[in-house]
Amino acid sequence: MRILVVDDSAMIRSMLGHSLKGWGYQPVAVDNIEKASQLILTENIQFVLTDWIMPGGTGPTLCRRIRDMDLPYYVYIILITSLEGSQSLVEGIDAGADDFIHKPIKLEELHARIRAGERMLQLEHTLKERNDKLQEISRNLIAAQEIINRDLVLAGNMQRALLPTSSSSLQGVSIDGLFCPSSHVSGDIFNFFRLDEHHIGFYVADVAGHGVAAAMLSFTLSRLLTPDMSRGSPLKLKLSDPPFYEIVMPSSSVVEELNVQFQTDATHNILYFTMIYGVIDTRLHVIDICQAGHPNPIYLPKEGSAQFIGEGGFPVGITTLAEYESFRLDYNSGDRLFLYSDGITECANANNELFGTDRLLMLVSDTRHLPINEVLKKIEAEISIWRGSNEFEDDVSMLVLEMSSNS
Amino acid sequence: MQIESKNENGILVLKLSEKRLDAKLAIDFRDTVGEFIKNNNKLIILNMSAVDFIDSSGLGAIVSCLKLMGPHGHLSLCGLSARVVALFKLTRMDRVFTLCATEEQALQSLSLCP
Repeated sequence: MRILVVDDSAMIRSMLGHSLKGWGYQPVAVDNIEKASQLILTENIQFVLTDWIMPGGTGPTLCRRIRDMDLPYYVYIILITSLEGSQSLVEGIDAGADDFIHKPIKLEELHARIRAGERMLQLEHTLKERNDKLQEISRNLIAAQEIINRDLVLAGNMQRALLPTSSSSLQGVSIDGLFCPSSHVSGDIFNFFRLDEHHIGFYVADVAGHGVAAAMLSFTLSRLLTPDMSRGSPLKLKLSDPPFYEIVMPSSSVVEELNVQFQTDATHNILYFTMIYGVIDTRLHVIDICQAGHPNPIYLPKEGSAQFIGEGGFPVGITTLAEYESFRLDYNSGDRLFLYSDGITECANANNELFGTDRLLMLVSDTRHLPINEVLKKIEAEISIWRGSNEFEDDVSMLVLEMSSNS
Repeated sequence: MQIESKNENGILVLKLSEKRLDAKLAIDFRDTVGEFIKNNNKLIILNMSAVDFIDSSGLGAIVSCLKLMGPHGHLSLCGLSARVVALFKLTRMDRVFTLCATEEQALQSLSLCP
């Protein structure tokens, strides 16, 4: 280690230089603080032993200058003092000195004080190395995080693109959806589509859990549940005679088939989903619905009060022993059907109280006078107020259908 | 996660001392109960009386446990809150699991198992 000795006395410079060399250090000696400041700036010297009173500037002045240099490393300073009393000590410390040694200098004591300074510099060096390493790790983490985030945003956009365009009207049935993922991607998914000129298919699904794993399954489902026969639709059966297809009915047959396809191995953490699949016959004004563990739909007749319908059912992928059934719902023009994920009913407020089914039923009743796109805005606003923010713990989704008798 | 275990005449009783069995705890729960199952416990009662909310991930974890038990084990649940019972009914899991009102009843029903 190099040690800068600052003293106007040639004899002391020589004496100290000799001792320092003997202890294995490399002394650099100057006779005033100007030269000292220059050397510290240009030579990266980290250890200074300076006299107090010198012509051209005192030891404390040098201390202050060094501290003002704002170097990227620490410079350890020992002040040599012949002054007695506490005032000088306070002045020296305030100026930035780390330690003192009194004249006449006892060499043994000086050596011990230098060793103490060395330990401090070593500690500082180790901390700095660790800090640099941490900063590098942190930079890498931030970069990695940015990549992951960008990917998730991309995946989220892809998922939104799978959703139907909002406020559609098919064969007189008006349909709108609400989709609020708890993170970038969602385990919830829904869709509706024309099956043929008199039938509309619709589904809502909620993969257990949320986040990426759940979203991957919801992507798969959304690709699979298509009315497009050229893509192997499970919703239509090929026939050899005109019209060359048959809509798979009852709706429970479709869900049964999905349950066969989506069983998970018992040794893995179970991945399953709840869903509702329905087929609307717009000519006969009847809906065939299969409820597979998804929350009970709310039926709001044009005249009459809102009510829950359905009696539950096995989720899909949970057991091969599941049997599924469908029920029929006759509708009139103006009736509304609400399908929603448990992210709404299980949305907790600040007191951990859940939004619950009763509150949702009441809310739906209260929106009767609104057009359906307004209904969804109102419901989203109400659960956001309940939650205290629009960041939900679980994925939130809702599909609302308003029936019409003029198809 | 807090699970207390005790053995009552060869029947393992596991009491989950958590208010919520949700996505945060589901994997931990499955792994912990899974360890007990691996250690050859064939008769298990899950006492859920402290739990007032189970979400879909929590339900998945319980079903996973049932599957891990295999055909020769018996897993009974007791002390389910009204809200949890509603979830089991909605998803028909009340037909898959043996649900008992109290731990005593669960012990009684399992003591008849061979």
